[in-house]
Amino acid sequence: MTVTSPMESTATHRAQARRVAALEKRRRTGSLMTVLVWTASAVAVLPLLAIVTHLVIGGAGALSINFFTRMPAPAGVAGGGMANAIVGTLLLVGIAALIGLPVGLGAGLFLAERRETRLAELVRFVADVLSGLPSIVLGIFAWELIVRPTGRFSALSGGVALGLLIVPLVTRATEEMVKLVPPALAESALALGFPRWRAAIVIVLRTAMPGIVTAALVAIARAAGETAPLLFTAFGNSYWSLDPTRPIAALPLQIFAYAQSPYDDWRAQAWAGALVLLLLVTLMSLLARAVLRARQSLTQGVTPRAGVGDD
Amino acid sequence: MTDLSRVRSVPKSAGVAPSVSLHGLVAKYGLRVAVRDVSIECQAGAVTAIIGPSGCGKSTLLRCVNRLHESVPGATAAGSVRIGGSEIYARHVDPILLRRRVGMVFQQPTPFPTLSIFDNVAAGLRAAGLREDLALQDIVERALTRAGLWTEVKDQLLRSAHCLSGGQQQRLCIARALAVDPTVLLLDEPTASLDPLGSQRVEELVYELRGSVTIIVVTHNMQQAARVSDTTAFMLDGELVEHAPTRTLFTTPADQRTEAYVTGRFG
Repeated sequence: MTVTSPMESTATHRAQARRVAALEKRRRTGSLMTVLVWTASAVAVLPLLAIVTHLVIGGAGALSINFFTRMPAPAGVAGGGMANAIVGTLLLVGIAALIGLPVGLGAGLFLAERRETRLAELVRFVADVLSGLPSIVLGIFAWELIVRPTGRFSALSGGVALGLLIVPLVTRATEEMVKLVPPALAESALALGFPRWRAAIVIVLRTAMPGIVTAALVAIARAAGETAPLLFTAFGNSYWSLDPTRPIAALPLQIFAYAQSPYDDWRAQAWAGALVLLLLVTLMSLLARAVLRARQSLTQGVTPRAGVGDD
Repeated sequence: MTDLSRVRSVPKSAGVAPSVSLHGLVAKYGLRVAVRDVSIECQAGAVTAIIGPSGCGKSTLLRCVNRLHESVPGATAAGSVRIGGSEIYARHVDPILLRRRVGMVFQQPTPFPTLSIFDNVAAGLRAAGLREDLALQDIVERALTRAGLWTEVKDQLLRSAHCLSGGQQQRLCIARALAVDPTVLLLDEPTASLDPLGSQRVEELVYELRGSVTIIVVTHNMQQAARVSDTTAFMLDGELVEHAPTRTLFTTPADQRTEAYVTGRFG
């Protein structure tokens, strides 16, 4: 039998009280932090929800088959659309991808293969600066490069401006994705008698491709929504045009023009245009995610799969 | 008639297998020396095992024999490596062509995940410029058969290589290495990631290939070295301690350090 003196028992009592108090305090801090984190998440999601509801309320009314198939109508005339701007945006993004993807892919592969060289450091630095540049600067550059010498605004100059926007994004993404490919794969290829370039392209780049495609889609989606680089390059056009040497309409430009107009139906069309742009970008992101999932199954393949019997 | 059947029973590349001799080989990563002045003679058509504790330079030594070592940034090799009497570090030797004669299999199975089983095996041949489908099919089937994988995969040649189990993937990598018909095969702990049954298949394969191919196998598993090799070399801290017929090395080693290692007193 143990005998505890009164003094000892108060001491244990006090220690226990301290423990309870500490536990209580920890609990309070914990719930406070949970509330804070939830609030932060809500604040982060709120703008997107607000934007989407606004776009749907403002734009859904003007969204019809006409919007996709008709040309812009004069103010007050019903049934106008943005067919030229939608096609124009596709054309601009197409030109941008044609310029930006090969350059970005090549530069990214170079950065990953020649990580430590001086030139690689330089290219990496330039790519970072380029991706941090305000997009209107790219517009000015394309203006100086193409619009001024040729003497007119053109789809080509707009495509070049957007292409410059894509290049650094694709470059850095390609570098990161290629670095993720296990080096053992490239070594196996070399050990089989692959020349280095062939190992890089056939084995490494192909294995990294889903990740690169994802990044490229995100970059293209970003380019599709850019307005500033197009203001004085593609310029906008109220008529139908597919000529790359002529000014061309683009969704962001059309939205820009319509949103400032005093006419209600034009403003509704601007909302609808914004909604279409949002849908386009969302679609690309979804596509990018699907490709990313395919990628995961690829790199998993390098290590043996669980559950497959060896007999 | 009798002549032909006699010829057929002889392994395809018998007699072609060259000897591999290293002389004064020094391999470095930057300033760190991984292999110090190693000289070793691997007999033609024999299986040479290299054992030793982790980090003793076994793998680096192996990687010098197909000149893969120099593909690592900052890595250098000096000394002499002769395959069949000709110096592979001579200036006129193209490492790409060399690697088509000297196959290599890594510790982890490394099938190319984007390629089908067939394309994996054909990869080396295609890189060497072989394009005719019929010839490719023939060689792929023979390589898979030699690696003991043909019956398991013959109905799924167009499936992705990562549908296979780990052991099958490793045998696929061996088939891929064999497809280009190398005369020297370098195995870098080929069974380290396999279960006992998978290891056994690989060991059987090594046993079958001896004679027609000169094999150097790096292994952590001393029982495995004892089972598959003709001679065994023991390395420690980048130096070759001893190289002797396998039975001798394991029963009456000349060096005390070898004895300590093979009896499990360290490493």
